[in-house]
Amino acid sequence: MGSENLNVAGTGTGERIPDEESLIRLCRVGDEAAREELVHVHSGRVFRIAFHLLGDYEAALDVVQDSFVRLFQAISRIDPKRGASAWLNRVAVNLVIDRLRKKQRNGAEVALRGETRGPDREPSEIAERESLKRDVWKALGVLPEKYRVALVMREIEGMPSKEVAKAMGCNEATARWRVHKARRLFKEVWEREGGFDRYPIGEET
Amino acid sequence: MNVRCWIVRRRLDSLASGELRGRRAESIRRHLKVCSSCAEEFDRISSALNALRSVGQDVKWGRAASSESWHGIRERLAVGWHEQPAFRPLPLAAAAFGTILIVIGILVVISPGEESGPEVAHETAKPLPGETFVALPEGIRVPVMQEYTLEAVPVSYEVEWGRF
Repeated sequence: MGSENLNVAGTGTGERIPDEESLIRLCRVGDEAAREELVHVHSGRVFRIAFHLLGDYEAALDVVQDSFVRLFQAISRIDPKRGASAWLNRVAVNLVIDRLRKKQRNGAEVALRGETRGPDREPSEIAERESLKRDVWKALGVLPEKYRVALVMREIEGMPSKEVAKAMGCNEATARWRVHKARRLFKEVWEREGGFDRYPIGEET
Repeated sequence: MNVRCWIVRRRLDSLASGELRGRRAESIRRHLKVCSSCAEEFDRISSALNALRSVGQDVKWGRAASSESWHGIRERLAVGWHEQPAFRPLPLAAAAFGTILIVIGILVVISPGEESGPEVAHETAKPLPGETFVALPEGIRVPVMQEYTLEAVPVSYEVEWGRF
């Protein structure tokens, strides 16, 4: 990759990789290894956002690939100092919203196909967690798009309000308000759908 | 629900998600200790948010999945991938309607008005002094009616008003 002249950052595992600014500069000149590294750095977050919004493993993978293809096609317009994170989040959210709208138009229900790749669990526990996931996705699916996106990014992905705002194309105060409203809406839907009856308060979920 | 409860409940979700800290958080916690209704609401919000967060713990994304994605991305880039434009009936219908309106507007603007034809004909058909025919553009000659003055009328009529 020719990283002699690049800034490098420690990963904590002894491996040293170029920082994101350098990676983007290398991507601009068509460096394949830099592109691959950028995918490794950001694909997890993009996948999780898409997966929790779509509830479909294959569709989420497709969003990841679409997002990165668009990133590399537009890499000359990305400011290396700002990084690719916010740009990718925004593109991924837009792609997810497009897919959700397409599903709504076609009258298709959310596929709710996920994969539990957690630590080794008992079959009964896996079944219970699958059921919980399905119920959470169902409740999320009832929320309007903008609240669903805000809730997933803030509560599940743990992104700060500033990043949520950038991904949603609004200001920070609006993003905070959407998260606040989304939490209350989710609690109402969870209550209405019998979530508190199936998963009693106080029990570890 | 009193005003204090109303204020506290607006901030319960921020407390449950750990965003609220310091004196404000302490103040709300003190209220929760003495208000069972708000404490119950806090438990419900916390429980719903815990359920929501718990689904995120199961999704793992390792280096293998990332590499698999990278191969897909590289393939798409290699073939010059472009997403197929989605068929969107509403924008298409709106665009078609707009085009029709524009075409109608253009036709209305460029087509001659109803008055313009007769005006031109009237001007060209104006008789010259002494002529008894009007020459129309197509070479048609149209006889002009004689104008009769009061003196030229052979019979005079006398009307006796008011006696019937």
